Amino acid sequence: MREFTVPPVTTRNERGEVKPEYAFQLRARFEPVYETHTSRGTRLYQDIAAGELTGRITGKVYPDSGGEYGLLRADGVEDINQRFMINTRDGEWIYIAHSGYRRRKDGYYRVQANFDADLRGNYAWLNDAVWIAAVERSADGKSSTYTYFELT
Amino acid sequence: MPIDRRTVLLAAGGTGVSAILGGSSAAAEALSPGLPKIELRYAFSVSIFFKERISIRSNRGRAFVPAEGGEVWGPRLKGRVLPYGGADYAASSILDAHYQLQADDGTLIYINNRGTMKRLSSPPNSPQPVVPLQAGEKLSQVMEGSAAADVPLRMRLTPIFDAPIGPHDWLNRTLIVGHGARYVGPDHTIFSYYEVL
Repeated sequence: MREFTVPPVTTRNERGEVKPEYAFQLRARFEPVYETHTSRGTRLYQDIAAGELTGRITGKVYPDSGGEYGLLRADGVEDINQRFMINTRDGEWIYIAHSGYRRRKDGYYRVQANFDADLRGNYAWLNDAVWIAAVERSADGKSSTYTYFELT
Repeated sequence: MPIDRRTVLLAAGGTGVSAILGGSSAAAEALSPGLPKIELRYAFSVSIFFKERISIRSNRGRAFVPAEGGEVWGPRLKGRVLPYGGADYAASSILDAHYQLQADDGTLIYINNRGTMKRLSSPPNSPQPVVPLQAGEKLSQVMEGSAAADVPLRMRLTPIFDAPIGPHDWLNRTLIVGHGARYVGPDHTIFSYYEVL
């Protein structure tokens, strides 16, 4: 293996600052879970039935536009993989994709969100920022509340 | 899920939201009294020293920026970047780097350092003009950049880690975000990572 010696630099303790800033919330309803056992783990499919957004975006989830395609790993952690479409109150379409972790053990459920919004529309600001969300899932798994924060 | 009265009362008793949201807390709470708590906790920093920068002006604007090595330090992880253990294959404003980190106990940890970057000194995502070559002119693919001053970039990261089962496996089940700053003389970037609690 080749070696490399780290040169001394004066910026070593540089840290900067990041802050989560609340932006909007989504309350989503899901259909029952379908489980399939695959070589990668347990694939969990859950259709997204409906949802409402409030805050900096007002709109609705387009019913049955996707849902949850998560993978339950051997260590009891679910790799979140969700995608669906949003239809805003002013008529725009936005693609949304979530990835992150839901832990069975302690209920930790955090995702990172990626949006594709039209560059000519009112939501282009979604494209450039980094978004994280805290998710609260109901005990029956039929509804989840996503609270989105922009990483400023 | 509708927020019922009980949830609102429970949330009102918590102190987390207002403390974390700072100045915008009043407006945010007025919109949604049941906001859950979200907090970032500094985990570690990584310095990466770059060997060279090569650009391919394809329609995606791909770059190849191999790493020579670097250091890892902070409360949750200490170690180094495995020498020549990866590269950034950035495309336009999207960061997509792959490296092997090595913790102090010898554990190898894979990181896919994904995120966005924006030049702060020019309009965001402004396309660089692609000038056609003159007859006989050679293609130059060395990336131009000021070597005299640090580069004002705004980087925001959402990396993915793969750590073996053991003391570092929290990296596999915790959402992590970060930011980066690019320096010259020598060419390096320092990334700092935070756990999303």
